[in-house]
Amino acid sequence: MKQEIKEKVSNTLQESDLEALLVFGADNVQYLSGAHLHYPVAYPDRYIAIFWPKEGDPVCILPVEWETSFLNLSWITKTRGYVEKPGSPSAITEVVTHLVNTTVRKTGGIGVDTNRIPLNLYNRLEGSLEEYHLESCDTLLKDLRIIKTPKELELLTEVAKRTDHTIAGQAHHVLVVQASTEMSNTENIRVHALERELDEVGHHAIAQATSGPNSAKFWPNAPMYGIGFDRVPKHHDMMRMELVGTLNGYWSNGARMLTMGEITAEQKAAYQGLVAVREAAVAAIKPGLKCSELYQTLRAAADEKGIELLNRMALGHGVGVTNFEPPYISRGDDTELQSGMVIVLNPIVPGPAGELMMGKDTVIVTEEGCRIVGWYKDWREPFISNYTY
Amino acid sequence: MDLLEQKIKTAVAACECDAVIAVGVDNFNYLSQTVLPFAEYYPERKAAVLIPKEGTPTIVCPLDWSQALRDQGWKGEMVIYDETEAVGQEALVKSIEQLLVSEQFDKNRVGIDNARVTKGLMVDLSQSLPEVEWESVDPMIRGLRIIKTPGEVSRIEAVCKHADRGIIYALMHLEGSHENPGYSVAEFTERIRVHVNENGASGVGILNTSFGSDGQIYYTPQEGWIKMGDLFRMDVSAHYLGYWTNIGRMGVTGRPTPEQKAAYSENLQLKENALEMLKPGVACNEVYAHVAHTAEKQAIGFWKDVGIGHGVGASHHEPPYLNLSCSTELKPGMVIALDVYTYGPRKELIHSKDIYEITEKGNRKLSWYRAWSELYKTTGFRATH
Repeated sequence: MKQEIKEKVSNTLQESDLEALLVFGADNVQYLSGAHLHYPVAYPDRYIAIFWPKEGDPVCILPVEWETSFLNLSWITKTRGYVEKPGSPSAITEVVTHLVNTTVRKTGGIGVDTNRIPLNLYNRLEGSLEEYHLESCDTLLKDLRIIKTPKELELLTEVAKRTDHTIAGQAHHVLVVQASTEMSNTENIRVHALERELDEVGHHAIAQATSGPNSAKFWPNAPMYGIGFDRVPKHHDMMRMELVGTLNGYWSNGARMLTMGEITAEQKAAYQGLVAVREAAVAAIKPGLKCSELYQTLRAAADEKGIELLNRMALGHGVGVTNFEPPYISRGDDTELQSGMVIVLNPIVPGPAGELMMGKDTVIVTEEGCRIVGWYKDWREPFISNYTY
Repeated sequence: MDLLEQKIKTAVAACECDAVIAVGVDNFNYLSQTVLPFAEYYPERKAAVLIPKEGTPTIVCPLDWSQALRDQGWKGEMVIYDETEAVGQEALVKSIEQLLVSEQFDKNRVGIDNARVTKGLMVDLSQSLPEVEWESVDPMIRGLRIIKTPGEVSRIEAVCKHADRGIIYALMHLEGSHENPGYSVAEFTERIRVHVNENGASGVGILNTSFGSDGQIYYTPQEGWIKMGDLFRMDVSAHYLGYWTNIGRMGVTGRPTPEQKAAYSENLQLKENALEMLKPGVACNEVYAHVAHTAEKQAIGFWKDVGIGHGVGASHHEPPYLNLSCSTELKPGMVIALDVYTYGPRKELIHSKDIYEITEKGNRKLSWYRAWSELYKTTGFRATH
């Protein structure tokens, strides 16, 4: 992946008017460096940046505390550690200014990820780099990231597969007679994720199992997110099993439904709504189709079949170095689908007891259309749990 | 937490803005007194809270977060933005624009957290609301957050206990299990998370365990197998109802060698030294200088560049900072994670990170559940469940 991303970034930079990229978003830093540090997002007052000049090697600027950890994981071999003046961007500004002054022509444009850099840091940089032209490189980065390289596709397929296997693996333990609590099921998802060697670090991997009335909410028992509760799923309940998993910094976003024992007619009918929307998506997705058109197509397919889709949320989104990124399957996104994009389809339909039914599928856009990746089982039916041993 | 609500209202009333908007996840949590689900991991999807000088506060957020906020007792207004009409930042900006217009703040002075709002979001907001005079309220928010109310301190104290107990329970599983079949580092790390949660925390943030030479650096991926004779580090940040702890503990698989024991004692010595200075009226950089001076005098190597601690509260790492450049004076109500890094016999990073409240008379340890006065030895029998 190292070579693919490095070449892609270098070529894009060569073709652009920019003399350098200067990015601060934790996701952008990971993309450009390959270093899957999981914690920078949790340090809003600490700054990490990649400076990537048109001529020369990229450099990471970061607090000294993180320097060796970064080098351990990154394909970037140059760093400039700085001693923090915490809460103040002055230390990183000094290092960046020095790098820019010694690398970039005074007339050169520097691309900054303005949708990530905090305003106070941007203002400070603008002041100290007044001879340079700072401009947004958000679109450039978006375009780079939105089309995955072959190695990225391989990794995203792998993490989707392991996520689905994790959820199905946990589902195999669910029994109607000897049912265990949602908390136990939630933990079982994480254990199965570990067994499949997904990286589970802190907030990085979020599992949740909810059933009955709890599954009528996105996040029941807030703010105890991803912990689960003492409710024991009952016969004929539906259980929603979710895992946001990660492997080497690339993400999957999985959710599947299970019925406690034999599926009822009402559950089957509601679940078929999910299936129908998925099938409509798979039939429609192809290069050249706009995301907004795909959204309209799915809405129309749902309306035609009387399927009630949850409103106000997109019907899908991209996935890569974050678990939620462009493109978005929404009326508001006119991005044209292209081969190499990876989308998590996320239609949500109400179950017979008000459950939020989900069946998140990872889909790769191909030259011919698309393919679903990672299915451990045939999800045209939910997982139907056994009654007893 | 009524005192906190009053404190926030008073600060907003006293500031020179007609309303304050916060978009930073930590500031949002603090000002709304709610916790968003994993919001840091959604860089293109944000929530905002608007607190007017007079009137009812409003949250702007996507649909799937809204109910969780209500369930946490949010009593203000709520604007749910429509992600089927606009996506990412655009959806948020549209909703904020509508909100400020409807509340008649669109020609007023509005405070915003400049240290969190991105340049791009600010550009979009300024274009949508050209007559708003935006002003940084970072100093106001910093001033509010740095001194905790008793209610906030009690939540931090609670989660310190959850975290320490979680670590100890995980260690109990490690007892007697090194050889056959053995634990992977990932499994042990996960055990810590499970037990921190089981002990009552509402979530775990940073989680890192490092064994042997992996412990020479701040973080390594949680891979490999645990073996006998290694010094190891367990770093956990966890929250309880929006308030964080951030602790670090040390152990050894089997019995510690004299060198490992001595290295740990050196660390505790420097920590004791810092504690003498952890009291009102002392500047953060004075505490740091005192430790640096002692270390030099006693020839104890410590990791100078990273400082010796920081605040905790509505985030796990926040002002004030115990380092050379922070001149903030310690005051009662501040809560500090004291974090002196020294080195083990194989250059492993050693620390024993505890949480202290600054009191009128000095300091009070909040992470009191276990003394950690010596390295935790995993020499017991196996306990499996």
